[in-house]
Amino acid sequence: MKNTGRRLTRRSFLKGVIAGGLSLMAGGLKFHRSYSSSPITIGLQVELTGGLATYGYWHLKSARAAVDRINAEGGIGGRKVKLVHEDTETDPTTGSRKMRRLILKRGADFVIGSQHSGVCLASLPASRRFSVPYFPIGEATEITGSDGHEYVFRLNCSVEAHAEAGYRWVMKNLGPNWTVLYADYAMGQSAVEDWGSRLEASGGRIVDNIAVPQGTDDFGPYLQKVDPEKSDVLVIILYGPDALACLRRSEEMGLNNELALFGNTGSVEALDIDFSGAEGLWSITNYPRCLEGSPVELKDANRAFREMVGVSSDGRGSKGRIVDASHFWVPWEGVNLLKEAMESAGWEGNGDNSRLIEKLEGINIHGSVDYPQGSKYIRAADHQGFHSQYIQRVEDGELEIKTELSPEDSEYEPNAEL
Amino acid sequence: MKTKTSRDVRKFIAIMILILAGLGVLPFFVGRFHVVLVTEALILGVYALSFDLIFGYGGMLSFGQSVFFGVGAYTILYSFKGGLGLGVSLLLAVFVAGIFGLLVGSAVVRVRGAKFFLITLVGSILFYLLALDNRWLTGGSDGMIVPTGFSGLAENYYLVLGISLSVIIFATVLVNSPLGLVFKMIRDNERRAGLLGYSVGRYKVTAFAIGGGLAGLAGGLYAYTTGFASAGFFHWTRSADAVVWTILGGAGTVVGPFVGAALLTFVRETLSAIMGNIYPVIVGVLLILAVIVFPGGLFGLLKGAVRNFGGSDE
Repeated sequence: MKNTGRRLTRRSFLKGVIAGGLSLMAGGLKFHRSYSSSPITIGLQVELTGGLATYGYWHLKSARAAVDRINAEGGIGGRKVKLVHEDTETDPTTGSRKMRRLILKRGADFVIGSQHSGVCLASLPASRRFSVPYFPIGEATEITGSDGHEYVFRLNCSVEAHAEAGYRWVMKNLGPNWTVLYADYAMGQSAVEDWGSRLEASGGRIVDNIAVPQGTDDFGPYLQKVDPEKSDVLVIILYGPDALACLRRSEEMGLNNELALFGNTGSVEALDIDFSGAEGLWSITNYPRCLEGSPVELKDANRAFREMVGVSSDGRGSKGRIVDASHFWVPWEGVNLLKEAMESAGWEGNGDNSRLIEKLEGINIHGSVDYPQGSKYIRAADHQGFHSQYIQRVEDGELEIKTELSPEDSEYEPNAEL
Repeated sequence: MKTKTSRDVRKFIAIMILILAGLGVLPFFVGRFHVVLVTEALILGVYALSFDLIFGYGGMLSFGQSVFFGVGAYTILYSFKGGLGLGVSLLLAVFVAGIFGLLVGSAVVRVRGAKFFLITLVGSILFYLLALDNRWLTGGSDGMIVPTGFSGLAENYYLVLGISLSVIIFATVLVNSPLGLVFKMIRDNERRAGLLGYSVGRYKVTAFAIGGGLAGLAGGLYAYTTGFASAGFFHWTRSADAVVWTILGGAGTVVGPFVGAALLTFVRETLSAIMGNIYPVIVGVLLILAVIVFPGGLFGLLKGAVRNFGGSDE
């Protein structure tokens, strides 16, 4: 049989390799040139279905508004910004899959979200493996603690920061003897540890910790365990409808008149509290639901921010939907923080991520339309953000801001040294 | 003279070689996302096959497979925390999950029919609740991060591909061995197998131990690949996934579970981009079709198509 093919010699092989290498380099140069004008892609990992869908609705609106505003003003470094989002279904396994999808399929250069701590934790490995800066919103302390890494930055407070800022205030103003009623899953258990350990270390006393399964309809059996004689405060660490059901039952049992009620950030989040059972409830929040509660110097900035996202001054959307005030500002500020840090670092592509990280570490942020929640800083050691928090109370069906706690009040010892 | 059967076998071997060659060069031709997707499909294929050994060959419709998957995932996690390497950790995952399979199997094999199904379902719910409550051990619903370096997407893909092929070869040898033939006999006629002197209970426990070990391997690989493990790994719906993939792909075959897992992994990813909520509906329809229209599963359909390919040999 005649061999019609050309024989591959060492010389022709080397020529091929060199030619291939040169064309790859040329392709790379061409790619680099076009890269600096291609859009910057920001991924949003968001809960649009499942237990935290109420949060996700607002996070998407907030991120979209921020990106639209930036694009209208010329983009980041002259480049347009594209927002892509994926629904985590409020499930860690799905959330981690969606994180990979955002990065590998949809080309996200950065990812913001999710609200669900489990999703955030499950997404941390992907963020590190693909070297993509990640701005989780979930509050579990480990996210910027034992499990954090150099690509992770959290703007909003962790569970531990809430506990650090809140426990002294509750102890001093409502009393040192607490009964804690908490959602029996990771976030609730974590909050119990963080609040309880601080209280007891300061001389207070946990009368009882009462675990309640998620989705409980009748809180009667659990509230019966509360002893108003021994407790000054009933601390409620519940979320959404569970918190509502608890408050209604507590009122029926007359507990609301016998001891003070104090809730975590989720206890009133996105809920209509205009009912008698919620009256008098104290709680901690990252951001006032009503514009009236914003600090005077940030009132105009917040008015503009709310208008752009579509939130009225009383904390409702166009269809009357109540905003998740404590967190909906995070995607907005996250997008703006990225713009600031990218322009300052001269970011053009993923190769500049280390410069971007340097800019973000220890950054001081000043309250403005870009940062309507207020001034804050991101600690370099663990990439955890610290900002003001507020103590609020339900009075006449409205959330009234009573006290502002400073960013320094929230600061705890870093759990990591990145 | 070549028989029709030998020609069918040759066609199958040719197709398998083509598929293998395709999988071998896949990372050079597709993007990183699809490499990840195929890696995941292979892992879930191993998991589905682990269930198929118990159901398709052993005749036991168990809803407890997620327990072994979860045990494998957490074994890897703690093994890495203890400083062990990947190879030893994977072997440990197989071993520990296999022991769980042995124990669970010993507890349930005497029960039959609907009671067996219910007891394994309740068992997996119980394990899930235990995993959820013992946050110090599992991280609860938030889960825990697997403390390991990651070799890279392509390297991990080839690792998973190699392990999957090894599992397929192992399963093929097993189901054609005297042990596998006894499994099938018990599945087809348990009473007869008993009358012939086989210790039915012991063989069923063996099927559970082997199936448990392979599910542990899949759980370990999944945790290593995604970098995390959570109590959700124990959830009974994960057991249901294995049931669906196996029935859809073809129960009682070695390759069928891989076909079912791969198809639904790709369907899920495709639909999640368009309309995520419709995925369960599609799965339901496919499952009904699999049970009524093509009881041999997709692999049965493919086999039929291959046999007919090239026309009649008469």
